[in-house]
Amino acid sequence: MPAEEAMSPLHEGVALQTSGLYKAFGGLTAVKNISFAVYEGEIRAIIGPNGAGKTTLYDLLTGIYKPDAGRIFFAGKDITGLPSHRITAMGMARTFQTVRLFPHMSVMENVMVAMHHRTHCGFLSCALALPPSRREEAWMREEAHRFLHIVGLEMQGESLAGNLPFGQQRLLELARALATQPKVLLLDEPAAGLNAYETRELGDIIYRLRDMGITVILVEHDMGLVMRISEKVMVLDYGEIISEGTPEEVRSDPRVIEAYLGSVVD
Amino acid sequence: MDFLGNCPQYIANGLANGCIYILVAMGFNIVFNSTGIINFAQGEFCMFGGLLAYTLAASLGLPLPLAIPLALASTAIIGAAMERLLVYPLRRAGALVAIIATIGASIFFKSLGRVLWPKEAYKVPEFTAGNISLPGATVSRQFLWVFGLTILSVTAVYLFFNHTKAGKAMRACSVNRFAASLVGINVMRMSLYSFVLAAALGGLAGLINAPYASYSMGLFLGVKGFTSAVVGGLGNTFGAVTGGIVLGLLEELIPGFLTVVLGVSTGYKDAVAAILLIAVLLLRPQGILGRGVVEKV
Amino acid sequence: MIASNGGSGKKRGGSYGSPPRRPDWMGMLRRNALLLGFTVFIMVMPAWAVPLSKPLSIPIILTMRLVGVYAIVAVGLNLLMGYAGQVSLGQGAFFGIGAYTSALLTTKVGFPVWLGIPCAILVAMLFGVLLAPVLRLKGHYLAMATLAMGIVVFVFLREMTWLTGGNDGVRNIPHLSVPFLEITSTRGEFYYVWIVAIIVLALCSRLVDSRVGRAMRALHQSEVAAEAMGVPVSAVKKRVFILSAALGGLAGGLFAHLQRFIDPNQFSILLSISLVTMVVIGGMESVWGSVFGAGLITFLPKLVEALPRWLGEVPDWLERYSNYEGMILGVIIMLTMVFMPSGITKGMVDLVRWRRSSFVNPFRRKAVD
Repeated sequence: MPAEEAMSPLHEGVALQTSGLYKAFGGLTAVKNISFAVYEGEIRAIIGPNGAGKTTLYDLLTGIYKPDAGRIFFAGKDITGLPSHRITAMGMARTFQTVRLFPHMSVMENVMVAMHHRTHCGFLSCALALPPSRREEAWMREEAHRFLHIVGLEMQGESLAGNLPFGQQRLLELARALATQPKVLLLDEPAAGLNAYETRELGDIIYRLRDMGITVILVEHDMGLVMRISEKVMVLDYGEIISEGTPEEVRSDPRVIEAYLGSVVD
Repeated sequence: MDFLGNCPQYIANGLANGCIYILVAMGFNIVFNSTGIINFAQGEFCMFGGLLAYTLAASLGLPLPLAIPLALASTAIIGAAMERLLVYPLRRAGALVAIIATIGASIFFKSLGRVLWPKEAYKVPEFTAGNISLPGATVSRQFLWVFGLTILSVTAVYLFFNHTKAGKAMRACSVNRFAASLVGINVMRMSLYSFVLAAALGGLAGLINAPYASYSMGLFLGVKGFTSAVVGGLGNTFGAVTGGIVLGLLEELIPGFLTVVLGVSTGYKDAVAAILLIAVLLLRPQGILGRGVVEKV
Repeated sequence: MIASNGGSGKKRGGSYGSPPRRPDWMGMLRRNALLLGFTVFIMVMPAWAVPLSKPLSIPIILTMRLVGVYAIVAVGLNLLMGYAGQVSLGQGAFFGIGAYTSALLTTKVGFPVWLGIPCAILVAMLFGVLLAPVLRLKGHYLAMATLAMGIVVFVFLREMTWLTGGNDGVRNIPHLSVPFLEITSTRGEFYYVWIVAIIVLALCSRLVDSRVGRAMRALHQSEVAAEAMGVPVSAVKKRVFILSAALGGLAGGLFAHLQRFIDPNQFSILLSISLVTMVVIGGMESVWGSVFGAGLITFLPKLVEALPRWLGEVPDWLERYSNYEGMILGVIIMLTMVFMPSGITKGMVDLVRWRRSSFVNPFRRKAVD
């Protein structure tokens, strides 16, 4: 495939890179020839009108869908076609546009599930409650508590996830994604449904994550947040990258304005 | 005995059984389309159809042209009662609860049947007695009725879904119940209609499935009807026709082959539908006629 | 990694938290109160149940042995269906496979019973591995595929006469035994079965509250999210399926040696359906609910049989009373699903706590559907 030669995988400091990704559903091409690279420690925003293919791109990156063509490189390896849980174990985590918590489990348990790949006790050890599994359990609780603390939910550990108010559910999703110990974190519209105060808090949390060494990619419609925190912005329309650059560059790009507001000639 | 010589007979029997399966499968499809539920009590509608026809025609001595519509109407009423009392209150429940609830209905109907008709088998009167000899096969005259009524039912169901307002509304429900309710379709009434129709079709299957009916016929007919529906692609009327015929023929030909050529017991016949069902579900879940559907997560 | 949790105090160099320094007996007692209470209940049961059996005309201890057997398989099914959310209408297949394995090994090959039952578990697990591909299916499709699986196993048990004896069944199956000791008394069998059952229950109730149990519950609630959080969904499903098959095999093995005669009709699809009923009525996602469900479904026919005898002379319409069993069962299932879809145990707890507010009359029409 020519795309592979065009983009030699993984320069120094590249956290995540794709080359020529394609994905079609029936007759509809949701993602067309997307190639980009995100550097370690970057905060990258992906914006675009509804239906531009942003969530599909996430689904491709995290292995929920297999791309029809193109490759994805992550953590020094080609991860194209790997199952989702393997990709997560390698250090890529995500949140969902529509919150997908485990509503009938406690907040603490939601976070503990995300530590599955970092723990090892199997059926037998768990059923017999052997010392290794008890140690692991205690360790998981401490860890979970730490991540809940980061998003400020440490007091709600025992409540059911489904009973949390919406804003806190989004924060819990974030804590859960962090518990997988990601190198790259994909956030899908994290500010949707949050009020202005919560959105500001979220911005601070994202900064803190970057300081912890996590590369953050976010899909977001809240332009205030995007312009404030992201270092580079990528604009998708009809499944293609139509513009890429710093927030200022993107803001003044005529193609972006056209995509959002419609053609002037029209 | 040679297998090839018996083939015409196998095919004739297979087609006759296939017709019954088509009727049951259409019942599954109609209910599935308008409610999203697989009705595990569908086979019990057949039992009611057959046994009610026996009671009305043989015990009470009503003439067949009167007894049969009455039996069908009673079965349809049972279907309606089931919808109002069980399916309607569960309209927001998950798949598992609906499955268990219809299984409960199936157990209830079956034991009700056993209490009312305790014998192992009842002879349902044939519409016209006697046999017809064809080259290589003998079929009963009932076979012609089965064939004719199945063609009639399939045509009627097809016309209903494509040329009547209620039928089109039910098709709309099958695509998207919520959207259908937004454009003013009474989804709950459609659910009621679908159960009435499915029960009547099941009842018809039970009463033309002469010569015998019993309280225990429901489960196996249900599984076979469902298999036919899945083989053809769940929810698709013509799929049900294809699936029913394929299953009917396989069920005669495979055990026939095994018995005559390999000398194995015919008892394995009961497993044919189940194995076919598993194979189709695993290898081609959209059915042999269905097109691939992309499942969006 | 430093815990911000101020309570635990002590910190170790390693990444694992320190285990509790000395055993916390009161805490352990509190956590296992249900298990201990139930164990005591079972252990003293013969003391009051034996004298009661005659006046009630219900052989309580004899029936309780079967409750124990069904509790084992129902708990396994609950792990699969209640916790991991994968419907199986064919669990009776594993029960039958277990029963036949142990029965045939002990009668035809001459295995001792205490070796036959582990073999039953192994063979059932093997079938679990073979049949695990059905787990690719979801919802109704999985239900029907597992139902079909149960039918196939039933037909093969019936038709493979050279091995299983077909409809004649297997006769003269030896009693349960431990090495060097055969257990022949009803009471001995009762204790044998229930000791096994209580061990299984204890292990399962630990399992569901562990890393593995959380993974099971998570994939039940959202497969996509569980997978995205690093849970290998299909592997976990497969293992739960095999575990439930193993428990089915164990229960089947015990069953064969309790009944001492088995035929294929005992393992028909009706068995699978009653097992599902036990789980659903007792309560999904509840280990103890399954025990309750197993008890209810097993005692129901005995109760139905005994009722006319309590009434003294049998009225005419009660002649065929036992035929109503299925109707009663069907009505119980339907009522439970409509009014207490999370099972009778949970429904009762809600009633006791008087959570009337959460009760919505399912027959009432709501504005939006």
